[in-house]
Amino acid sequence: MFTDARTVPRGSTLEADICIIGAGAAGITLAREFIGGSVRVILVESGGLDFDQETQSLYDGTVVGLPYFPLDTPRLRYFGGTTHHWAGVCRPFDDVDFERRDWVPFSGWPINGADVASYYVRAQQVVQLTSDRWDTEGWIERDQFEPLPLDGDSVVTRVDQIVPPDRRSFAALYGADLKAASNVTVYLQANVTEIETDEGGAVATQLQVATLSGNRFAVSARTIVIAVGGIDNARIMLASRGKQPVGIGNQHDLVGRFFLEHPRFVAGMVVPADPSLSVQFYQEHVVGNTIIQPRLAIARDRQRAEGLNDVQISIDPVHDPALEGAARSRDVRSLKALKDVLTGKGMGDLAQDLSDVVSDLMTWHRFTVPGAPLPIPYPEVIGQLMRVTPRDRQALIPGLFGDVAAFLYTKLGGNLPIDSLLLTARFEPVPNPDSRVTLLEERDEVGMPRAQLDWELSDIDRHNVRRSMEIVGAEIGRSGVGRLRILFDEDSSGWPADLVGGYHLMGTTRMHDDPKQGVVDRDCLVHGMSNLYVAGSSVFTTAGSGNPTMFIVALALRLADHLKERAT
Amino acid sequence: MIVPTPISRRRFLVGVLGFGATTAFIGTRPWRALVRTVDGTLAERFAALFTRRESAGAVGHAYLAHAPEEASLSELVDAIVARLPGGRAAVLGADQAELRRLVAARIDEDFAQERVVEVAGWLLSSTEARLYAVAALA
Repeated sequence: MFTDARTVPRGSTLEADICIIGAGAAGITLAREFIGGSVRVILVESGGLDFDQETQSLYDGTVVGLPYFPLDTPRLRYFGGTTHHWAGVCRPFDDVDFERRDWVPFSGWPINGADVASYYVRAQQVVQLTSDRWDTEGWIERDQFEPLPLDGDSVVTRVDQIVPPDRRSFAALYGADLKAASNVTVYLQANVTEIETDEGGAVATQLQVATLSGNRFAVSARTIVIAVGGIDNARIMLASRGKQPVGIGNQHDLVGRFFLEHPRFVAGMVVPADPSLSVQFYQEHVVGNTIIQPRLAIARDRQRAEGLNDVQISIDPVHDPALEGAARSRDVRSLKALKDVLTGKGMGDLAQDLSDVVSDLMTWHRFTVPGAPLPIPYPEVIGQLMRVTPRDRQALIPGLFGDVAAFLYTKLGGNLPIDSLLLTARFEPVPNPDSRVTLLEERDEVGMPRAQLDWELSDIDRHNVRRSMEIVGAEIGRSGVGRLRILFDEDSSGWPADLVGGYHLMGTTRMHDDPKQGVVDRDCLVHGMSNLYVAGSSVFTTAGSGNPTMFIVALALRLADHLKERAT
Repeated sequence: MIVPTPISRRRFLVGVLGFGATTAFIGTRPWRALVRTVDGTLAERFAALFTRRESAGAVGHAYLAHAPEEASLSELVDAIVARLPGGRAAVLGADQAELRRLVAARIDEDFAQERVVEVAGWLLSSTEARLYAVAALA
């Protein structure tokens, strides 16, 4: 059931077996696992059922270090959480992502691929993927488009699956389940301001909750799970200083450190040998009933041989601006509208559309000799056409023959000729203790210290991307695809201006068996505590090669099983 | 690896696309059929592989700016010939079309072996870069 926290009697203490803080992908997944059982669950959510700017502003904070989004941008603070703007990209972590790699400082999870394999199967159902296939060859066999002819020893193709937009919001998918559940109560508008512990700091005893309207109450539970995202998981732990001056679980100064993202930037440009090259395989497209997004990556054996982290590369074609402009012109829009009218698919302004198309098709008249019995171009026009390369000649088509003719020309050719390909590299950064979330003195409207993010990358990351691009460039040349230009300098101390993250907030309560190297253990239990768990991507030890959401769900399912087992 | 130097993308495009030496460009470009028989020194024959020699020379100068030790035409030619299948004898016995094929095979092999150099950020095969340098000096 859903309850508005503003209606809870002030000063009261609610009781549950499990209290989950945060109704995003992790929190909702976890709560659903207990529906219909005997375990009483309270799910505490800061927001309501819809976006509210005042609530969202509780995320405001500061950014130092590398440029990053304002802190209220990458996440959403209402029921369903960040799934409301999730891009739906899914691919499981590879086994190597969990391994300790000598060349990656602080790498190595306490769990491995086998530990989570069965949870991935369940997670695929939770996120409602339409296929359980992750092998690239299987997708290629069924795809109408062809991948580039790369050798596969050094550069491989990976395939991500994309959840359709109408299935991404966990609020829409699972809100009704939680609303109908008699043993799960969702408290909306409820902000946790502190997790209280016993004197020794080993047991989380209760939560202090505040609403923006000024109501305050407590929640007591035998087990507490923090699931409010990669920044606020750390924020709540650091801010809970009632009995622990440095925050709970922070006896080794690790909470908030090792903040990870999946940075990306345009790292290379390819001039194709053949402008009619097709890279549609690498664009988001549908195969069967599944949306896929293939990308390039460095083969794992090659990564291991050279000591490289994971880099995956998206390919975006750049077309000749004249031809691309023609395809988007008003006259071509009129042509399409005209077609819709004539085929009964739409209603348009027939006269205006017809006029646009006809006048555009007469463009060539301006370049022909007046009064000639046939459309003879001026000699200088012929001379210009003769002097330029075939590539440049195509670019002259819109000017000489009009946008409609240019559009029809490119349609007959199947694709717009490609001027170049932009390669966007997204990489797995090295875990870095200096990349961290800390607290500011300034407090938000419910009294929580605001967060400061200091996002840092390292020289290892720079070398990693650079070397990966060199490997890709050699393969692009070998395969005859074209030539690659690398667009950033390894010797530079900075990063390209277009470096951005992917809204993937990870690592701030990292998982490790050693309390001196991680905040939570392999069961997501906070080291040194008996009943406080963390869910979400803040437990990631390394950023991995896959997008985080499906893995967040898989880990939440695994945590649910652990809590059920513990309860028996 | 050669340190990048500024060279305009346009000039690089003209330089590379005006050169039919690689398998890719030979296989897809309309000037594939425009193979000419060129008499003269090996350097001239290598330079004549480029349809846009001035642009190729610009790329070659960019390469030589960071590999000045290679700024000897005879040594460049020797270095290129030594790596071509069959060596000097094959080159001397080849007509211009065969020479183009030998060079293309060498460039493919360079990329396969990752014998690449970087000129203004562009990754070129080492043979390819030397051919540009020949075009600059010949």
